[in-house]
Amino acid sequence: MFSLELAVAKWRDDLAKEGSLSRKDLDELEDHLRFSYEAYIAGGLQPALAFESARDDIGTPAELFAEFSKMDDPLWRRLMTAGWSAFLVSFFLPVHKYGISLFKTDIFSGDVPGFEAFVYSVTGESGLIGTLSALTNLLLIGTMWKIADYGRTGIFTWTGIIMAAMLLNLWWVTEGIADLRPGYYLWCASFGTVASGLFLRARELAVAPATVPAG
Amino acid sequence: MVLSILARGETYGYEILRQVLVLSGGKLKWSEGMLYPVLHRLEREGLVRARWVTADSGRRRKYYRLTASGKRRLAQDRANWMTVHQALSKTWAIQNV
Repeated sequence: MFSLELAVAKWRDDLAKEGSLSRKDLDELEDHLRFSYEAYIAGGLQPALAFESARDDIGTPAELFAEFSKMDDPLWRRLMTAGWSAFLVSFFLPVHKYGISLFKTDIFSGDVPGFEAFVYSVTGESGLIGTLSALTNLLLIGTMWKIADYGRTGIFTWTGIIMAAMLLNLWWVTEGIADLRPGYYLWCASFGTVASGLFLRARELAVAPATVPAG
Repeated sequence: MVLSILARGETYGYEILRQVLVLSGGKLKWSEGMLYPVLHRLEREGLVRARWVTADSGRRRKYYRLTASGKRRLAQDRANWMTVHQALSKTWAIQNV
């Protein structure tokens, strides 16, 4: 026995699994689906067939995902923008309690801002881990260079690289969590956020068809 | 075309698609997946405004209407379209001589 409510609920679940449609997008599409279903019923179709026809008219989850991604600001892009913003802001926030203020900028009452910690680390003053950690900044900056246009494999690879960079940067927690400041956590989080955006972009490329029939 | 349909009054996605089909004599059949992202973009650009309405049946429906800047854009697009239309008409008239 066909149940419209069950069929609609399953259809919504399938769409939600794609991950790019908001609850309000789903509400709007559901209203459309029900209109279309009622029109098919009025045209004399049996309920199950009417639902299938209405569902097919709207399109598969992958097709909807591709269309919405073209016009809407996708989650992956918002995540990457948020990650890059957090990364830049972290350079101007205190990251560590102690350090050598190369620029004599005692703006945080002794706490070292991110840009000074970067210069200090990149010169090798804080050892190999410090230098590598400083170089991970270049990797993150590299993701700003049209990386979202790379192929699926390339973006998955970059996702792994940025995640590895974040894990390396978390090493500083072992050095003394009490000495770390908010800028440090924001800096680490920016790597995770950008990696999440890259992952979603790669996933989008994995599910979206190359071309979508418009009619 | 979406702006032109909305210029007739506030309406919702399903009705817009139906009107496109009717106005084109059945020749244009837009997909739902194509329409809604366009409506959302127009909303972001401030050309249309949307509001949710709950029907007596409890179903929520999103209605769209033109804003003042939407009306200005429509007038501009219409003028551009007419210019192209007139130019093409003259070109084809010359070719048919």
